[in-house]
Amino acid sequence: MNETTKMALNVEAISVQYDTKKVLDELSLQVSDNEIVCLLGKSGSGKTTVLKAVAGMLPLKKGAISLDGEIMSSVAPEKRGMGIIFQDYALFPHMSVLDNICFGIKGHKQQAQQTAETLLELVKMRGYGAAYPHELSGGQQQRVAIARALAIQPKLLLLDEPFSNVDYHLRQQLMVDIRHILKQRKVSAIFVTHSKEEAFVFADKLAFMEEGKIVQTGTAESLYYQPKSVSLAESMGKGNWLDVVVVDQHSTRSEDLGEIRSTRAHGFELGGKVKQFIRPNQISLEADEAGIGKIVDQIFTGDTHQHAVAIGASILTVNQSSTKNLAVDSHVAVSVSAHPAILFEPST
Amino acid sequence: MTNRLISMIFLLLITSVSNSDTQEVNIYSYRQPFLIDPITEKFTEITGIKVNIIYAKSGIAEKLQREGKYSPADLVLTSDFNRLLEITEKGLTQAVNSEQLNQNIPAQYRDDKSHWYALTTRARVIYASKDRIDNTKQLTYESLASDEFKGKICVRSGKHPYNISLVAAMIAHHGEAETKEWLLKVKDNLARKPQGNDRGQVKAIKEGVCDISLGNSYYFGKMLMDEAQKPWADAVNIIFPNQQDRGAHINISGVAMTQYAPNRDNALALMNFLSSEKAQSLYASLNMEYPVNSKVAPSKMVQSWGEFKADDLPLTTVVNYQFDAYKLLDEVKFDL
Amino acid sequence: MNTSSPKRWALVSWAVSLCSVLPVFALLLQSFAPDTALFEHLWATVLTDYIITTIALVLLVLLFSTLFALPSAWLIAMCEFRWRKQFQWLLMLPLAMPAYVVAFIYTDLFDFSGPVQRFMRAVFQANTPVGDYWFFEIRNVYGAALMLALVLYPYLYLIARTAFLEQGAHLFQVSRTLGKSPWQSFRLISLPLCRPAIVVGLIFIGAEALGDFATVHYFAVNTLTTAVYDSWLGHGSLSAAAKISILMLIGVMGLLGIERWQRGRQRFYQKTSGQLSRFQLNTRQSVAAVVWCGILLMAGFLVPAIILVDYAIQYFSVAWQSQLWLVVVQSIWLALIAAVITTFFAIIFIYTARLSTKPSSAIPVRMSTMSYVLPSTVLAIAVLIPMTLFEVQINNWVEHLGYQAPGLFLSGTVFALIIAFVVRFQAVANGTIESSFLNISPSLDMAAKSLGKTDLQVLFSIHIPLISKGIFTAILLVFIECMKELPAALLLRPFNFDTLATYVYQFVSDEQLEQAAVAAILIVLAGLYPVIRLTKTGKINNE
Repeated sequence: MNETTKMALNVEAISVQYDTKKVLDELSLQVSDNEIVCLLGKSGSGKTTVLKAVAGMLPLKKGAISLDGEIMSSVAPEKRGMGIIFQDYALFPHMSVLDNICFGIKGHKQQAQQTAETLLELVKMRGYGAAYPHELSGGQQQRVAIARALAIQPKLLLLDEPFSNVDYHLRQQLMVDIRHILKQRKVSAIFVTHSKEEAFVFADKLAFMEEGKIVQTGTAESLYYQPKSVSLAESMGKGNWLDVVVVDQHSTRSEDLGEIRSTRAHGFELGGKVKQFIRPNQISLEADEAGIGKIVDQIFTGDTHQHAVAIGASILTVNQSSTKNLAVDSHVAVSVSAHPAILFEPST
Repeated sequence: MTNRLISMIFLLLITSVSNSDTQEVNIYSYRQPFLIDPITEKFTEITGIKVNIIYAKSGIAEKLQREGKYSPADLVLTSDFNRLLEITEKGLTQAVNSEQLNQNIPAQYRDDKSHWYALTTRARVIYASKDRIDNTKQLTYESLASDEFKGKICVRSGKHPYNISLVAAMIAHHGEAETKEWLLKVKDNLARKPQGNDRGQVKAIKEGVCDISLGNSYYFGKMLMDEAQKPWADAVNIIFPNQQDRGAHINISGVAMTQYAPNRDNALALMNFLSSEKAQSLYASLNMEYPVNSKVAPSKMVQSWGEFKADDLPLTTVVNYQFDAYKLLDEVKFDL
Repeated sequence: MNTSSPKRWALVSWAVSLCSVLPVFALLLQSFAPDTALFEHLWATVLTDYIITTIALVLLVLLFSTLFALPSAWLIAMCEFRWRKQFQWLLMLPLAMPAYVVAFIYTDLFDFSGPVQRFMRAVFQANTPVGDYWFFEIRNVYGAALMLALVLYPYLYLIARTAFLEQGAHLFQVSRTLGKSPWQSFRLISLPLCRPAIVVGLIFIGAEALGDFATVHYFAVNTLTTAVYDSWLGHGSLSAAAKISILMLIGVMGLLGIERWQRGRQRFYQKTSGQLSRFQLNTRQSVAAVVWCGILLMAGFLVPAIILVDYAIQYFSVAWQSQLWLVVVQSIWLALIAAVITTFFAIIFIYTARLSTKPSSAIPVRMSTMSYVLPSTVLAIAVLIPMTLFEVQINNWVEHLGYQAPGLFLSGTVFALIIAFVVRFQAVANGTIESSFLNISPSLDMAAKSLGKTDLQVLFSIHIPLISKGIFTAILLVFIECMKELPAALLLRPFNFDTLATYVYQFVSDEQLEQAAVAAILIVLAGLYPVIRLTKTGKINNE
């Protein structure tokens, strides 16, 4: 951690229990100032529980939470200065949009309303002050929810699957807008999702959770290209599993693909049999009549073609730019570009 | 599903519409069943005729009117004269000519048109605390308005038929204006809002809530016979008011036959029985009432309260002022 | 493909609901009849006092009920404390107690010669006569309102609790992150959002209070219902009674209208989820919660129950009559039939509305619901009018044809009672069945129809199994009501037919409840089982 970046939120080894079941097991997490951290994981991994614990909605069995150096464990939720955004927007249905935003603002009513109007403008919802929540679309409601949360000038914003209920087409724009707002206002955020695409767009740092523990923290790229667990590897995207033999610290040998070079030392024993995980974009194809691979299937995704390539007994998934114009049933030469190798013990 | 519904309806119809096999008499009664059951049971014992009673605190006249000629009721028993006359005047009764009835019941206690017949009489007496009220010989209804009884009177709702009768009698004797004055003063003298029943007032006297109350004479006997209520009766004297002038206000319980009585003969038999010595002595001994049949003496206990002078103003006259009484009670907001 | 099926359903619905509305119209007609002498007299003298007393009574009952019910509902729905699970259903028990029984018991208890004052006098060693020290008088409007509220608050409690549970946790949690304390969040968010539900509960309680005759009569409180009784049965002026009843009806409708209008554009329903995590109360708070619930339970149920049992034991020889068995059987049987019929009709009404998108298809439901704002006494009268008219016509017609007239086959039989009960409590069944149906997505209907089922088949194979809990609840609710129902039973019952309620009332009205203690206990017992089942199987689907 960089000494020059201040730490906004420090979660230290917290454990949370429901009845006798351990939902969070000594989990630690740091969020720096103005940083957006994403908690990524399958349902049941405990990500929402982390949010609730941070917000003060759940009691901690062990560990401590501090915000800007101040210990939060005994502070009531309403005094923590954290905003929360839910998947179902949770706008108060019996109040107008303006009243919703003004709800948390203390002080003179007129001033509050002015602040609210400014915020409405910020979330691109100018003019909707008098509307009621049921009159708005999902995306619009979420924008209002953001404005409402920002109205209390929180140090930290907690977002629980905020984009799941928003139309796909609007989702992208909403994510970009909100990220921009958060950065502009220098608000830190923890955002929970099961969708890696959202994580890639929205977050500065990702933390992958599994069964109440954080498995790995890092940038999206580092989790994608250097996952430390099998499940993380597979969760971050498609890939190909190959049985390989370790040649040396920088190369392995696969039966079908030959030698694969690694740009970093992998630390496994020489001669050992290991599993290697190769991303679809780490393999190159060239049209070649004599090539060892044959394209058996192809999916067009716009920018790329996702090929299914048959080599030996296996079928590899390979992404190539669709400008390459490789046809199904054609033979291709297959080569793997040098990259940091992702290796695991065969038993994992 | 529909079949079952139909058969259920059918069954209900059969079981609820009375079958004409068994001999019976149907009574709509204002008097509570436990007061007349022993007497009707005796009747059934002797004659084998079943007696069915439906008791209602109010609304029998209305019910009879609605039912018209399909009413199953044969007789109506009332606990006061107003209602007896009411059903007669609404044309809901028929004339009954019976030697027995005429012999058993003196003329002033039966309708000269032979529709209604009184069965018992009762006086509306004053109950006065033994400890706190003396000089009771001079007590009159009118004296209840005097200042010496300020905050000392307990009474049931002014609109109860027993009290309406009394107020009507007051109007008959004194006129509306004076009676209104009297009512206002009595209301002022009340220890608490009118509530409860006649016996409850005696209980209040025992507790010291008040010193004087109005009530029907037979309740005295009823209280003395009840273990829990005896202390209440022991705390008061029973006083027949206005003995120096017109006499105590009396009321009657009575019977009339309905216009379309389906079991006329059985009903007549029951009416005769009710006026007979057997039934009258049951009335006297069980209910502590004064039998109308002159051959039957009141019970020993009732006799011990002494003879009294009864107001001889015909009840038919009193009843004319009934509605006025009601209006007056509303005007002075007696119950409120 | 049956486009006429909704029409057939509509026909049946309209026919039935029109019948149930007939009494109200009959009443309306009656009120226009001449004979205004009595009414004018009343108006000039006591009617205004009656109106004021009635308003005071109803408002007080609503106030007390709200005070009792809302905090309880909140505690049970949103907090966690020792014995919460038990209190959840215990708080419903007062429903089984008839109000006039409770009234009688408390009067006895707090009377001058009652145990409470005697105890106080013993403690302070004051052998003073009455009037020397102040002790609150129970036999007034406040006392009556308190009695009614003690036995009626469970309705509001049940509804409010459901509303709180269904709200979901998110709104409350958001409010807290926005800086509001739990109390503020409750006041600003949870409570207002329950408004439609609370209104429904309050209207029901208000209607019950308005129509109560026995309790207010016992407490010497004169309300409009007293006036109705007096006018009709004391004076035989049905038109005056009808006029006063219509007054009451207008009052209630007016209030309803005001509430609707004031609601405006607000919506109260939000499709939120949010797993409910209850607040764990600390020790001090837990104790307070338990004490609160305990007091309510004691006042509304335990104390009256214990005293009743005491009476029953003391007076057993008098109180137990062999005919009681018959009365019990009759009461249960009558209540069950009415309960089943109302639920049956409710299903027809609601389903009709569901089948058609036209707003007019919902009218039968609304119409049949209307009758419950009528006090029972008024309803009994109202039911009699068209019924006897009908009977007389049939009788005349049959005689005309030369056969023996069947007599009073309606008003002289239990039919009158069943009809009155059904008309009166249709609203209860409607409400329950309606909310059950709401939980079934319309897509289920469409899916089933696309697989070739007729409307009727869809109802039987899809809906009825899915709303079986609701059906059970509806039957239970109406059953309890019928067991306790007094005024209508008093006025409409046939010969030799007593319900437990009329039997008990006979004695209460004579201040001799002790003798009917056993019967009173039976009423409570009969109502207990349904009440307990209700809380367990009711619309609430957690724990």
